[in-house]
Amino acid sequence: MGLIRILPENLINKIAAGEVVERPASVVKELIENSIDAGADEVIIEILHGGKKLIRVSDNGIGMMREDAILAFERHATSKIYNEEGLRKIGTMGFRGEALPSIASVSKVLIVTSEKGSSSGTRIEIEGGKILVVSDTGPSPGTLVEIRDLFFNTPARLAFLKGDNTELSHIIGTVESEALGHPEISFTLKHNKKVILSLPKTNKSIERIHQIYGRGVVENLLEVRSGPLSENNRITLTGYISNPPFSRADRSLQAAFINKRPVRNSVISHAISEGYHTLMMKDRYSVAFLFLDIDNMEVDVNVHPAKREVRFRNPSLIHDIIAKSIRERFSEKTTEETFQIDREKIDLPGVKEAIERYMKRYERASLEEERQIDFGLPLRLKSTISKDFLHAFESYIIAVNKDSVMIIDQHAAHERILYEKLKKEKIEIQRLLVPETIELSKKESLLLAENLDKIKTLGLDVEDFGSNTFIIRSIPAILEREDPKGLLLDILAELEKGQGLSRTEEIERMKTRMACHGAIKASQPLNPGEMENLMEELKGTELSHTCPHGRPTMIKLRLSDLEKLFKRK
Amino acid sequence: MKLSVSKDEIQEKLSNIQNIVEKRNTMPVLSHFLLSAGKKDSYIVATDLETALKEPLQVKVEKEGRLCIPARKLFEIVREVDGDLSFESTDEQWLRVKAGVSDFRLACLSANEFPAWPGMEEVENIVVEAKTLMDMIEKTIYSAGESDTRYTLNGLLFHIKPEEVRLTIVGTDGHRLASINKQIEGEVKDEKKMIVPRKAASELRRFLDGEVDKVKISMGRNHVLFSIGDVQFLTRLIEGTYPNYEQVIPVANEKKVSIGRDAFTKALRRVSIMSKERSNAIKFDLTEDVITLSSSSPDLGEARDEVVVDYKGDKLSVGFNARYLLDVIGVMTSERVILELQDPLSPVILKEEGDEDYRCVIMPMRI
Ligand SMILES: Nc1ncnc2c1ncn2[C@@H]1O[C@H](COP(=O)(O)OP(=O)(O)OP(=O)(O)O)[C@@H](O)[C@H]1O
Ligand SMILES: [Mg+2]
Repeated sequence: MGLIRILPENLINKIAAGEVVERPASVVKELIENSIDAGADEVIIEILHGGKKLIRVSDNGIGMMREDAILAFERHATSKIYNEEGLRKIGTMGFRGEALPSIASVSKVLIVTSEKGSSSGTRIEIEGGKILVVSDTGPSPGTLVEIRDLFFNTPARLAFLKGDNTELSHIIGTVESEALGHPEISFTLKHNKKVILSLPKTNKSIERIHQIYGRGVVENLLEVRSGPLSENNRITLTGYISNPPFSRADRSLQAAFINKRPVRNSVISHAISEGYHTLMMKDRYSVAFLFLDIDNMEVDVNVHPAKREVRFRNPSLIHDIIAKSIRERFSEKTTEETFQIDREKIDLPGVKEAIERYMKRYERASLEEERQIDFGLPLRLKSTISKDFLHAFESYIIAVNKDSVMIIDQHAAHERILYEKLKKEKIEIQRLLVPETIELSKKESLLLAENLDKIKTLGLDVEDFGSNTFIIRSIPAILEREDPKGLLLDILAELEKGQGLSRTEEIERMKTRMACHGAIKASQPLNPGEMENLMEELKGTELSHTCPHGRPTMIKLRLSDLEKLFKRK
Repeated sequence: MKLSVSKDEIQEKLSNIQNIVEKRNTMPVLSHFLLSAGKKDSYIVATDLETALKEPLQVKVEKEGRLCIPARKLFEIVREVDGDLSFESTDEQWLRVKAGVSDFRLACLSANEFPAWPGMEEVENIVVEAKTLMDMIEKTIYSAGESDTRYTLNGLLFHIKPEEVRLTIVGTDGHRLASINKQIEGEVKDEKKMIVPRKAASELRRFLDGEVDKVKISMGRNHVLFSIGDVQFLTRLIEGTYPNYEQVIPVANEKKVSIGRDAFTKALRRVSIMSKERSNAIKFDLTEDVITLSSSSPDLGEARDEVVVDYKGDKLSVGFNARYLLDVIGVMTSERVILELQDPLSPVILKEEGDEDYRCVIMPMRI
């Protein structure tokens, strides 16, 4: 007998599960997408212990008849495509016929379903991919799928799962992103019997965004819209983007949907950044919810087993549409706003013409500005010389002493100073006379609620006010000039990234973030006194040569280095 | 247009508008002011679309006319030349400026390009003493926010209640608050809450310490107009809700301390030398008849000082940002100031002795 053999069906499914099912959230995603494909307009997701114990998804979709329900757990059994042609223009969320068998191979499944209009239903129990019982039951509205003890038969994968809260936060993320793509479906998420998300159906995506992220975000969004381009190119883009300076410290609030499917795609992320161009500060990210409607032939979703990635037939076209729509939204905005001011006040003859002339100038000005940036030189940043320092491009301080020239990055240096203060000194707390209220998304709320005590040790006294609203009562005194809300959001972003780290590590990272938030920015004008202070304080710090992120704070050129550079030695 | 004007007159009037005319070259006409020369009266107008100023100009008019003149350039010319000036323009593009044998030709814009003075609707008027208004702004503006994301804090609240003949002005940046309340003339039908931009309030001050003793405040829905004699100063209001300041001012602080303002200032200055950069933290230890102030900074060292006070009651230790305190007592004028405290976490009130109209609130610091 040769060495090669065909793997048994069940083992194939287990291997496939490795690709499709990474953690409870992946199961939730597959089940929700099946419900969406079944035409449901109500989906209820119930979770116990971060989904490790139980995931139950029930819908009011078309359901299945007995034979189909059994077949659904066979590999490559799908009702969604029939031939190759179908694969080229996928219009449903699922199409591989792989999800249910893969999930079933690594868990204990119960499915109760009944075909719409039928007077009876079917109930199937499966364990580790083996069907245990198939029985008839009464009719039910749609389909209920229960997944218990995920990875019970693959201990290695089980060990890989994180704590309940981390898994839950992935699940919330999954439900939120599916829900954003499908505002016309109502979603309810319960964890350990408590309602976590309740998203009634609506016909507006902005309403759904509001349900998930609250007023704080929605207030700062602008609508974008573009297309269809032409008769045979029916790409349309709709969506909402943030109005700078409203921004986040990471991309967590950037979401793109292609034909309602949530996707990650580097072309899209890049196009967003490019659309904002200089409007976003370095290391800040806009908020963007973009919905692309595009011919199914134009996009390939069959790239990744979990369908997280897509490939465009014409990526540069997509890139341009997004970048251009965002860019235009802002040039439009400036003129619009100027108009607002003027129209309200001015209705004298001659003035209208003056405004028009001004607008023409404005358009020209913005073009010139762009060209300037293309040179890659920060031309608009001034350099100044005072008695002791040269301040180059409003970002670097250059000082000369006995034997060397020092170039100091003002942001990195200040960041280091603040970081050491936060680390070494007892944090002094300035209480706010007028406390700040902040409304967060459910996911952020949970994360924050869980970390209130940690954040408090950093001087941010935050109180949970219920229904995703929090009150900030104090901030660290050395950051008293900072905007408390922005500070809190930045810290949350850090917590989100650092999930699973130890408490000390987490606190370290939050301190780093706080230092970065409070530090003097690059391209910020400084007076000689401020520069002197900065240099003085930098001298006193321990690791004065690098910022807490490890970038250098200063570059030292010794006289001998200069001599080498000029080939005198 | 043809006219002559004294150097002092035009220099003074032009320096008044320098902060209003736009320096950034966004809308060219905004870097100009409008000169309107009439046989009956002549005046100049400047605006940045947020605020607008109209002030009379004493000139001898030979020929009437209106023209938009670049403010910065004319100001520079006026500063450099000797003696009185004469202006002449025959079209809408050039202005000839002469002083003695100096001769300039200045590119101008047509008067029609200048934005119209905003119309105001639903106006109600009150009258305040100029000195009083000046004092009220001085005593609140330092606590207003500067570029706060809570944009309503970047202004001063003018609050008038219908049943009272008084005006309250409030400034807060979320950490401290100052509120002052004074008698006015005139009444309002409904409660009025206007948020006047900080920059406008600050600019307004320069017109309040002249000879005119009364200011008429005309309040519209979107704008407020201050008429100080012949000078008209108008500003757009900040939209939005101002924090409920009355709720923030504590009413029942029990520990009342009276301190000599001078001694207090000096001690604060001395002790803050050793306080930490940025937070300016100072510790107060209040005991009968004396406050001990102290500060420390790990790299620098420590400081301690004492001020004799009038106080009978329990001991209390509380931390403050010294800068907040210095800001407050810096605008106070009374010989003694009153400090009203409750506990280390509750807001503290500062008052001038014998004056209940001016109240400053500071939040303590936990150190
Ligand atoms: N909630 C449901 N309601 C009705 N039919 C369902 C439901 N869930 C699954 N099915 C049926 O079972 C089939 C198999 O589902 P499965 O998720 O395994 O594959 P798929 O959705 O076709 O493709 P993919 O693997 O890409 O998700 C589906 O094609 C569908 O016909
Ligand atoms: Mg599926």
